[in-house]
Amino acid sequence: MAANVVLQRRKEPLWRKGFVNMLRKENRDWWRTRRWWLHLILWLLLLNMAVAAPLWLQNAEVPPSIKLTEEQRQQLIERNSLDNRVQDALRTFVDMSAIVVLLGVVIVMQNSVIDEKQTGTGAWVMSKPVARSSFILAKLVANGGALILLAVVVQWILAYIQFSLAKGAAQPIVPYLLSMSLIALNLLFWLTLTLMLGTLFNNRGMVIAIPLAVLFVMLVITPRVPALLDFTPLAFITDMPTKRSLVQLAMSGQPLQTVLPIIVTTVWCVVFVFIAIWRFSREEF
Amino acid sequence: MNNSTDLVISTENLTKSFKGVNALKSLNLKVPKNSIFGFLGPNGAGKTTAIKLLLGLARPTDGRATIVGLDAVRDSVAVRERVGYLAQDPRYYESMTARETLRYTADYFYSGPANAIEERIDDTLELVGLADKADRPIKGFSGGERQRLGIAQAQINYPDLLILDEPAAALDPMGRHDVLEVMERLRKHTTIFYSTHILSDVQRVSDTVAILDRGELVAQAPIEELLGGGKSTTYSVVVKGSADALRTRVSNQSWVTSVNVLPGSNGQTAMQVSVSDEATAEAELPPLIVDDRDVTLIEYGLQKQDLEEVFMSMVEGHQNGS
Repeated sequence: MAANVVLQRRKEPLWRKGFVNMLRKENRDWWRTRRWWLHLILWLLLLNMAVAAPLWLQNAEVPPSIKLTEEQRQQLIERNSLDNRVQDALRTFVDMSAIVVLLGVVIVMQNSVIDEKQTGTGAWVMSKPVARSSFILAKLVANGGALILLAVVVQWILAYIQFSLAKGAAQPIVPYLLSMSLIALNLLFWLTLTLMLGTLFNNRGMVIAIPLAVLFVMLVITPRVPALLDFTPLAFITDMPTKRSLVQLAMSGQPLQTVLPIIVTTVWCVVFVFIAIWRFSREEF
Repeated sequence: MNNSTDLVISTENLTKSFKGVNALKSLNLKVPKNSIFGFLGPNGAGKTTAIKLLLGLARPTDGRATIVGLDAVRDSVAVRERVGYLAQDPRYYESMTARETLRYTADYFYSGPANAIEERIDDTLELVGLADKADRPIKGFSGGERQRLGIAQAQINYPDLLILDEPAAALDPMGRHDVLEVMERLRKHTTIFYSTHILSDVQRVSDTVAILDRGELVAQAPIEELLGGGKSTTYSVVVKGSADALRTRVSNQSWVTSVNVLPGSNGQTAMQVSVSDEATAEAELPPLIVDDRDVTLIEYGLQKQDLEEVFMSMVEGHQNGS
């Protein structure tokens, strides 16, 4: 056998023992397989096509046989105006970014921990010098990074190009980046929630159903109790009669009426990660 | 009595309960350094549970375990740095090749020049006889190849202790032969603690064994001691002729504990003579038989017990007693 001379034992703090190697493996699953470009195409079709449709396809001309009143004609002209089409496209894009990405995150993440527990690969990895926290953090960083990049950053850059081309002028960049960051935070909320559920349950159905149930409850309750909206990431995209959504405010360059939803959502993410690490540390294989 | 520094595994009343059912009851195990330690027991005896407790994959309900001088719960990560483990039904990332699996495993233990790590991987692949299949995806591996890969990944860090859970259970005779051969090759590098219910394998490679039944330790001893029956030694004697007088004379010796006469054929009589003093028996038993003019000695020898007999009698004795 080779002499054990050159190789050095890895020295890492206990809490992130094995993290780098775990992260490398998780990143390889994303970037050295066809997974990344399948996601890229999927999100491109779902998000940027949703932008392209209202942005580039004008409403059909009204046939001369249909007689319109002057008021109706004015409404039609207004609806077809460039500004309106951009606004429509932006709203659709933001809503799709928040809701469709949520579904994607849940589908991607539901397997992440449960698969490892059920197939036995988790037990194998945990028989090596790996901290339980490293296992969870590597999943979070790799999947969070990949999804934010593919489903948010790339899509928002492409959408930015579309909006700018359609308007013939560059969109204000800072408000746009702020809006994008809020959507990324929204994604992290659902990602950490699903990651935590993967450590709590061994049943994929529960891991998929609970985030959808949470969303449903938020959608049902917040219109009736508007004060609760600020404690959910729904505040990023939901317009209320008394206040606009944070993303819309940010996009239009107006000051945010409150940053409470940003703080609360961040706290939720941290709590979910802590619970995931705590629960996984007690997992028996 | 073993000095604690000579032990790689030492457990004190190690206990594990699942929903009130004791899977492991106050296990006190001592595994000496540089041994091949066979951990025997029928299915469901608690062998895998004990192994998982040693590795920190499960938490004990009570008691403690010390592995290579480290506490199995408090120092679990440090323990796993010095131990190699092959699970009963090992699972790896199927898309990886054998080489990638070993590289992934090695990276948990070592940093250093890539060529040194590759050299370690090549050595290990050679050791387990997978060098020619190193770059094939694992999903196409046979059971024997998976098991050999399992030993390779467990051995990649040159561990102080190698824990193998049923390493040959699911294999055909050729696969079993291969795995046992690899274990014999490894014995000069490390201590091997392995669980099994295949007794012939244990008899072939182990030097010390422990028998577990229903979560309780029934016996632990060097295999020679266990096969020799421990306190008493038994001689097998076959004579031709009338053996009644011989039987009486042998039974009357103070160092003889029992004489069993077995039915024979062709005028032969087979006897099992158990003695408490082996040295006296060796000196006095042969002349006692030879000097008897009524019989002719056909066969004489120390009776070696089969491990299966020892195992069955211990497990049955334990089950009848509980």
